[in-house]
Amino acid sequence: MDSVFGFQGEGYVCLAGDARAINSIFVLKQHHDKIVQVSDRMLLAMVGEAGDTEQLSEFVKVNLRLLELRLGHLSTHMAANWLRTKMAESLRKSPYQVNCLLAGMDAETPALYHLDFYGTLAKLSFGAHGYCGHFLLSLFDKHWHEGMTKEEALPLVELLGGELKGRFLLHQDTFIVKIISTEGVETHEVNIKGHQDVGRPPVAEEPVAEAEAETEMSAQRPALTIQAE
Amino acid sequence: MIDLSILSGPRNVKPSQLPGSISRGAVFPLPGCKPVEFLEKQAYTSFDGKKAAAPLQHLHGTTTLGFVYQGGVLIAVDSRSTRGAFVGSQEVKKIINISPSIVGTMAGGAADCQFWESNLAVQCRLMQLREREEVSVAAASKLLANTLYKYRSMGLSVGTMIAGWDKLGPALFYVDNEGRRLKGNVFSVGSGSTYAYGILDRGYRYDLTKEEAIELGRRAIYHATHRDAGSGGIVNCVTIDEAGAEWHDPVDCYDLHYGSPEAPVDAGQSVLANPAE
Repeated sequence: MDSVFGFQGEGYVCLAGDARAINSIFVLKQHHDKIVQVSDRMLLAMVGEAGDTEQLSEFVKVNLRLLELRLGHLSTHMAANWLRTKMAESLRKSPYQVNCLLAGMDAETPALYHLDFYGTLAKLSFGAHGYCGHFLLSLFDKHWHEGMTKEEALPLVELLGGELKGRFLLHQDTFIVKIISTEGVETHEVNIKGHQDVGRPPVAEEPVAEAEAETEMSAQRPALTIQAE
Repeated sequence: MIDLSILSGPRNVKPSQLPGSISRGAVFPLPGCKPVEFLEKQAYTSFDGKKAAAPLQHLHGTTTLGFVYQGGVLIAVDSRSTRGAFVGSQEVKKIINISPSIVGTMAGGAADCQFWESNLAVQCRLMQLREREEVSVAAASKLLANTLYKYRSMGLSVGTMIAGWDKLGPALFYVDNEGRRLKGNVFSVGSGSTYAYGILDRGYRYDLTKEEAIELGRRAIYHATHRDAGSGGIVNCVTIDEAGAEWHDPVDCYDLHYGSPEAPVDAGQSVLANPAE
């Protein structure tokens, strides 16, 4: 039920996740960060089984560091494929039931990878996990474009978040957004304001006349009296 | 002559030198069966011919809560243990000591909580001896989360809050049997938690005084016990601050509702929003 989505822009990748930690019908926490910085240049956004997400993020964090020390360098492409292998290996043993989006910067080049827990890896310009994909992918198709500037990032997240607030049962309205670029990682919180109700019927033009009509009707209605026996 | 040399230098002791099984920390031999299947076999047939839930799981109805306030952290719990509609006990101690300045709460399966939190206390004590430093709340909760994560999908039922005071100040963590671990300021766990949250969310502020915090904690548990059949008995409350854990007078929910000349201080009057006539 958690929402996580992200997209690539000109010299940056933007990841966003809803800010709730939920358990059955409970909201356990209202400011829960689902995006973890796994190295200086990589972010991992995760949705899935409760305990698995934390275990996986720490597993990735330490192992990417180890790989980097061993190899001397580590591109997002390498990290994504390493993670895919690990997910595929664990699938038949004790699978991490976690879907993730991996965002990274290789020098000036941004990259976004979409990975599910079956081990399907895809390099994408934008992606989403969970139910939110049903609501957001069409919006991405329409509003995302090549070479999006950083200034366009947060308004797009607001647009997407607005749709989730208005159409998704869970009424998600707070999103934690992380943007990774050559300048490092910046974190934002997006709160969707206002009432998102497209289908609401227009307000009556002459409310005064309507109020009068109502008083007339109630005047006609016979008074309800309880008769004592 | 008993060899007490291990006491002088705990750092030099190999785990194998420590007495008995405690040196093994979290390691626990797996039973020779699949626990989930075993528990399912234990399920009995109830009067309507349907399979009822496994009768081995006590303490399913519970209300526990915890919050961080300006002066420290507060934990309040009820004391009822149920098995279906049967009230097994009204005087269960649902706050478990982990270390002098850390406690844990019990919700879910009583045996699972009791066993794994006692095990956590052992792990914390060993860690303290090894590191020569008080265990932090973050570390304690992480030890428990790792243990529970290891045994996930084995049918454990644990919903706990680990609360305490360490060198960074007050801290509160939620840990459950899925291995989830969340840091937060306000949590409530158990079947009565929805009712407790109702009172808690209205009354909570970070700058509560200790007295106000105790009042709020007791009030939230009282209201939960009033609505939730699985919760009841007495309200136990502990606050933890720089000076350590302080256990406050247990208050009987019955006295809180009807008022009693024996009720300690004025809890009976002040906790009730609308005293019963």
